[in-house]
Amino acid sequence: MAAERVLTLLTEPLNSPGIRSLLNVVSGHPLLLHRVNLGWEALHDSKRLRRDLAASEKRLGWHLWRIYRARNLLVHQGIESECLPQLANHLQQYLSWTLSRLLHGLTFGPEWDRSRLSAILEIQSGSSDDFLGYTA
Amino acid sequence: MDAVDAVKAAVRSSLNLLALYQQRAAPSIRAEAWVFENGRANPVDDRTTSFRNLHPRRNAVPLADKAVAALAESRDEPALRSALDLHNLALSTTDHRLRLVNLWSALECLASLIDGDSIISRVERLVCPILTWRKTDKVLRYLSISIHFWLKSNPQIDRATLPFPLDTVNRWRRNGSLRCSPNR
Repeated sequence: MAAERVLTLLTEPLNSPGIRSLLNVVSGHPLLLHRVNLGWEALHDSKRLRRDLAASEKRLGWHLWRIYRARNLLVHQGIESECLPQLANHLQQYLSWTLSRLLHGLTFGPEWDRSRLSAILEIQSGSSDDFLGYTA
Repeated sequence: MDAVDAVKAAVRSSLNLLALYQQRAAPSIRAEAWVFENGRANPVDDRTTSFRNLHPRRNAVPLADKAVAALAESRDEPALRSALDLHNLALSTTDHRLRLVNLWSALECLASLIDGDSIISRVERLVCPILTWRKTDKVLRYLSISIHFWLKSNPQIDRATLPFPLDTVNRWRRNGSLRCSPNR
């Protein structure tokens, strides 16, 4: 998998041949160089990675609120938000990923039920200590 | 594009009245439009291109087969089936308002599997952990695609210095990892 290969490179130690080579390859593209560097930094600082993911989760929550408000305005007052098509696209992605994840969970076995779903979500939310344990 | 939207809104309003008095569905408005300028009709793309961010899964049929089997044994089957129904309904319509409403209803069906004080809190509790968990994978995939496009547009870069074999790039292409542009 491509992403796995990039992950391997980004988790290499400072100044290792792989990451130096990757930085050299993208050195002519400042934005890509910056992103590769950001990725390397994030994967070498578990606290920062946790902070980034927490911030991402918060932004996602805000976006869900935005979609919910747009939907309520439309349904209850007939007001159509300007960015409704974009919101519908984002919602489609969120729903598709969530559904796929739940269906994937179902394929683990017939014992999957609500308590199992809660367990999955709990693991994925994760306590900070657990998270640091995974990423240390 | 705003002018096209304004015209469509006006026509839709008239068609809605027609539907009321005829007691049957009015003709639908097509997504495409033309703007007459200097005696020529120029096509205008619909800016609300639907669902362009998602690509079909390469192994859609086997995945669907597995899900059908798993769904048959699930206790939470009604919520999931309804969500799938509403999702499919949303995909089948071109009206972004109907799409949004149906997609949100599908999400509410799924959120019924979660405890919470309100609908939005249940939706948040369901969606946020799952999507946040995927973020790292998403960023890595984006970087992979960006690197590929960078290499493609710069053939002068010495391939011998790449930190991954070139067949990796070809494999990415084959497995569909490179189907979308990072700019989309």
